Amino acid sequence: MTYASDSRVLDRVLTEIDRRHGSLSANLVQFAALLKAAEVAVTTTQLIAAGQALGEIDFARRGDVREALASTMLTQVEDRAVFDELFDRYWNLPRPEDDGPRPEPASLEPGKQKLGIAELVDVAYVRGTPVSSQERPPRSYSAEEVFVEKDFATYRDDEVRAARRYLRRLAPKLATATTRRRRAARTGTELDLRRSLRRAWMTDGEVLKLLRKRRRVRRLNLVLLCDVSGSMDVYSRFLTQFVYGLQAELRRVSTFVFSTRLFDVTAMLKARSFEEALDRIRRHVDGWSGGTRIGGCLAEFNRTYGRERIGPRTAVIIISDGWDRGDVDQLRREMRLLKRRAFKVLWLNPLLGAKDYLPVAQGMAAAMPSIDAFLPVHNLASLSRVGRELMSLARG
Amino acid sequence: MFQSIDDVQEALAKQSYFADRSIATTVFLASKLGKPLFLEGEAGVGKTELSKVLAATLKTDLIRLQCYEGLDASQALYEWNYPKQLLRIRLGEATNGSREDIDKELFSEEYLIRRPLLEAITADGEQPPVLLIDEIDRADEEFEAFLLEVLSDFQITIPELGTLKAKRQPTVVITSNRTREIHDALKRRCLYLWIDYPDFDREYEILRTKVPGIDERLAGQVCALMQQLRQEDFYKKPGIAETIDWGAALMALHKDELDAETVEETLGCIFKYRDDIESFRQGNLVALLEQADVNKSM
Repeated sequence: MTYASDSRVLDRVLTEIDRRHGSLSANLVQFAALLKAAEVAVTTTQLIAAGQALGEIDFARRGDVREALASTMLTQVEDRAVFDELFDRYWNLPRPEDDGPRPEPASLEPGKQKLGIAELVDVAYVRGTPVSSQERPPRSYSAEEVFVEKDFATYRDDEVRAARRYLRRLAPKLATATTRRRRAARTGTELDLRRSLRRAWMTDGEVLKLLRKRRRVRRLNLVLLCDVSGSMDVYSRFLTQFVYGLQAELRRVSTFVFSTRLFDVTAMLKARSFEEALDRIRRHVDGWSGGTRIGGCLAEFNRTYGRERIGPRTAVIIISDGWDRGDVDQLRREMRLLKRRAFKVLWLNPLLGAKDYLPVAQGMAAAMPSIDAFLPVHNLASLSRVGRELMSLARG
Repeated sequence: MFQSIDDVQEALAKQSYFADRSIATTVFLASKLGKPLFLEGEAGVGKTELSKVLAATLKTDLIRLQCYEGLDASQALYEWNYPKQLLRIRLGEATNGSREDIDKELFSEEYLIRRPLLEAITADGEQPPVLLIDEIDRADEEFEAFLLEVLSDFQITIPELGTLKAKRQPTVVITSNRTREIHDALKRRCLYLWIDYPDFDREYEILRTKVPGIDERLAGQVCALMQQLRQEDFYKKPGIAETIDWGAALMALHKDELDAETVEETLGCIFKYRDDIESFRQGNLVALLEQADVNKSM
């Protein structure tokens, strides 16, 4: 369906709503704009569905209206809380007075709105940082640029949410690049006539068994070793979330967290978030945050999981600032061992984001010779670069 | 076809599926707007069950496509029956059949293996079937794109046969356990529904219906305990299936009341992971049971 025909359908649906319910269509469009301001994007297709849905239900039942809009406008349960909050506030507002012409769907600039709406836009927009609607910075290119360059450690709560949404959208984009390539290379996955006929030689030309060609799947395995000591957990959290989005392109992802000890959180992350997993470990392990022993943890990894989790198509990503309290020689030794087994070893270090950083900390220096790629990981921009790096490995 | 949301609730209840208002609303709208239902929720909240019940309610067939890694068009859509085609050729040779006949026959529907999607599109029963695409998060992303294509116009082109179009759109239900994110493009075509664990009343109703004859008091205790367990931190929280299994097991053991010993004996019905059983044992079972008793009598 083209965009033009989409908007024609939308017009028709909205007109139909108004025929039944007065100037409701403007409210619907406005509500969608509010959601969008709260980073819950609603597409034209969804808006059409929402409009149609309103035509099917008893408008007097507020609960039904809510469910109808939620099911047509949302795509993930995480947005439901924002949705409910905005729904309650928006649909309980007094209807806009009927004196002026109803606002055109296109004219949603905050300046032209009646007071109630402007306030709502603020609620939707910043949630937590009150900015008046007039001053609200437009979602311009430069604003986004500033945002992707901002260090994770300096994020406010609302920025954490925005960054998550950014990552959720970024991951599929990176992944599609791979998918296309794979499809193009996918010739003749079906019947392997050549081999079938060749084999038929043995049975006097009679084809007894049909052989098939299969696409050769050589997807990448990934092991994440996340330093969560000190302030590292912020960066580790964003990395694991990001990798989660790329998972479909990878064969297997194992995630470990470490500080003074190493933990396999792979299974835990299937059911809960990174923070929850960390909390759980903190509760159950004494002396968890007592500094970092990278060498010791790597030794434990190599000994316990190395054989099972690392194969020739396994990339290992270590995310740590390299400040090690432990034995430097051990770290050097274990890194070498890791490098020998793994396909690639990537080390991500948030400190690399600082302009004047040099990897001179003893631990970091010891690890350097065994690293294939040394990358920063302090903001969205550097994380996308990690993603591209990873996808090019996955394709390889 | 449903007339109203209440109508949906009643019809589903007749099949022993107790839908809350939000489920019923979304199901109703899906049938009215002709959109696929996209169901998400923890394992064991009744996502698959809903589509089965929907098929029963609409008095039509359920066609199920179970997704898995590497699922491709030949497994989801159709495939030519090569061995049968080869046999046909040999038969033609042996009986001096004419070349034209063989040509004509070889790529006819007789030699076509219909996979679920094609089956759903070409179904010609009285009612359009319910097509369940189960656990789409297990399939590859490529498959999602392919599915998007099929779902947008419900027609399939087979080069040798031409284009097949569904006479009436099947009712489509897609489920995901969220082991990975599904592309927004697909979700935006659907009506989204998050199914939560049932509340006490709904679960009690389900248990009493699915395990007929279960003692009222016992059913209350079981449901109250389940509600409580879901508040706790387990790797795999018990779902509705576990409640039913457990209720049935307790019935079979002729229990009419829960006590610590009974729970201990039947833990296998509630938990599927050793870790969970162990962490449950570490918790204070007696307190939980007392609490469950208090809740139930409320």
